[in-house]
Amino acid sequence: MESTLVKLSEVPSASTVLLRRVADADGDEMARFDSHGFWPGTEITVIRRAPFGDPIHVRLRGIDLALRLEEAGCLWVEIAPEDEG
Amino acid sequence: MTRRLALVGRQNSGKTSALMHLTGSSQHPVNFPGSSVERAEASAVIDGEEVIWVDLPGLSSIAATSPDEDVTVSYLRSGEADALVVIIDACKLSVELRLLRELASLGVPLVLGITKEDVAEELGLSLDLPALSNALGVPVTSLNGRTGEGAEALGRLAFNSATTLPAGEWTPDSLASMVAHHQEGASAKTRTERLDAVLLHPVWGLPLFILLLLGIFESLFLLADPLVGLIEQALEIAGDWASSAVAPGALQSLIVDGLIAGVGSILVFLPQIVILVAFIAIMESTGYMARAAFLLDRPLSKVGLSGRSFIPMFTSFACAVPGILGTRMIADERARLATIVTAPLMSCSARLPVYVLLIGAFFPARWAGLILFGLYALGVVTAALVAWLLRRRVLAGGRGSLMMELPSYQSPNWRVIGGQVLASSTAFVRMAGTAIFAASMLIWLLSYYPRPAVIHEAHEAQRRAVATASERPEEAVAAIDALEASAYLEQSWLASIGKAVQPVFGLAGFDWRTSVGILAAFPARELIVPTLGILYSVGDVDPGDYEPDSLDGEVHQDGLRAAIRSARRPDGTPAFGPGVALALMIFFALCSQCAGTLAAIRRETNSWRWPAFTFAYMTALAWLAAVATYQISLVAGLT
Repeated sequence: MESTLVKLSEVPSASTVLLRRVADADGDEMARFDSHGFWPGTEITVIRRAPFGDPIHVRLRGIDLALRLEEAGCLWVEIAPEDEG
Repeated sequence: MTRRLALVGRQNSGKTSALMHLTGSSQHPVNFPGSSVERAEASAVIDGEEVIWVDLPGLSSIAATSPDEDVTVSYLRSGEADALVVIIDACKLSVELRLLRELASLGVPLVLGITKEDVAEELGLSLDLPALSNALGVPVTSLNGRTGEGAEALGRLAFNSATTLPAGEWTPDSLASMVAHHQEGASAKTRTERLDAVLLHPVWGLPLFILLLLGIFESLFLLADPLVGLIEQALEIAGDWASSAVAPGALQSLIVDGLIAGVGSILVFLPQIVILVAFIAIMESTGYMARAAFLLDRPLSKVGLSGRSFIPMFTSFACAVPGILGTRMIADERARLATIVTAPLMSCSARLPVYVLLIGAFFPARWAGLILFGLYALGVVTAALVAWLLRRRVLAGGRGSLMMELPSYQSPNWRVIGGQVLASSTAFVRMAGTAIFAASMLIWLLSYYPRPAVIHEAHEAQRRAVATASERPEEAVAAIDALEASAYLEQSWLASIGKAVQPVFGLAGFDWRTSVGILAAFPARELIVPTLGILYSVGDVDPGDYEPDSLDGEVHQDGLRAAIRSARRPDGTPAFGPGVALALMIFFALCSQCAGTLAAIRRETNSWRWPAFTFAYMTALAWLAAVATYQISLVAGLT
């Protein structure tokens, strides 16, 4: 049974999650997510938030990226069981 | 036919350093930092044959989503490249391989250059290059971007052994996990993580950034000063030489007043531009620039811009032209347009001489810093308001996007920085030699003609009179020469135009001479300083005389400042006062007075609509603000 999915924008800092699907993105956005390695199954670590809470600093596939919360809201992720709580 | 080898790779993969090493130090095919947006070409010799290296803007996908990526994709599709060197960052193998797969669909022979293996090693990652080459079926070699080790081999491989990528049974993930080996236990924090913990700190990150900016501005003025002195001396020598080598008359005036005063007054800004570009290049080269964009994205998004707008905006403090080119990194077209039309509001280095001239003439030294800061802040605040309005009306919509890589920190690569500084100063000098040259010639022509003989005869008579009567005939003759110059000017075509438009500027307190200065300054704003110099009959005045340091300490008593302080209107009231000076400075802070900027906007937006809009809104705002300032100063009794 698949655990509940949350948006990456709601994931607290310093936690690692698995990307399950990309939703609500237009063609250009889809292409950008794809070219930056946001493929289903990818492990993503949320490192920190910027001083005003947005954007967030994430790491995936050896790349550090700044993502706006609006962008991160398109990414549905699964919080790995050992990281919960 | 000379073969063309193109370098392709994702942003931050190390292409710029690779190109430096592949072409040798004599080449400077680099873009302005933060705006690697044009393809650059450089030649080199491999195995005794000449080849041309082509550097293309960073690409994350051939389904390009930003204008700089479009440049790369259309070049790749044009078929001009005989072979590709795909630069691959060892730390990001899976994503790099995805791009490689896309590039293979173009059918161009290629080789792979693997960079940053040393960084990967720190992360406990090692790559099996022979296995990678075997699995892909194309040559693979490593390249150390820092030392250049492997560059020669990579060049030779690209020249001799580039191969079309065969369709293989691999996915980026499967191949990456096959050839990349993780070592256990290498989990210590990297240098980048330690630095980010401080520089991106939720509380200290922003104050540190602001401190850094203040430090840059402070040293901008400190470091530029001696260099400006050198350029001024060179211009003076050139002017003296031209005056003595060419007989007085139209040709001498064309060279001294038109060419040297016009183009020369621009060259004086070169040191500041060089220093600011060097700072920007260092920020870019170390990886801090992306962090600045990360810290500022939220406040910038409030006015409809993006963190990526910071780089072009910051560059525009030196010069809006490279700033506008740098907006190509902004993928969201509407945010990009808003950045383009507001970047010229940043107080560029050409506004500085006007500020310094007028602050020094009408305000006490202790206020100088505050007023100067106020003028810079006025530009920033106005830009924020204009961007906000635009994004709510004309350019509304679009989802905010940032998705920007935060590259690992690196110590600055001085060769790359040197190349960038050289390239942007060359571009600046070239602009001074073409656009500014043409504008200076036109202004000179309008201010020099017509030349009725009556004026000459009248002043010649006076000169003969003082030559015998005066105790110090040379000074007296010089004074009459100046009067003659101003008499000619008073009836020149430029003056006729100035008097015609004076009613418009009269509301801001400007007399006809200042109005002429403003007109003369439309092609390039700094032209007002030499124009005022001629109009207030003190001979040649160089804007470079008004460097920030002349505001310090004692009041700098000199020709132009004294002349504008004592200048009168026909009715005997002073032509200038603090109110008029403030109105004029605010006019300059906001007005669109730069042909180069408008040309850059035309080029970047591919339409006349946006340069026309920029010119109209900035000029209208400048006029309104100047009129308001002057009228308020009248009420407040500042004049």
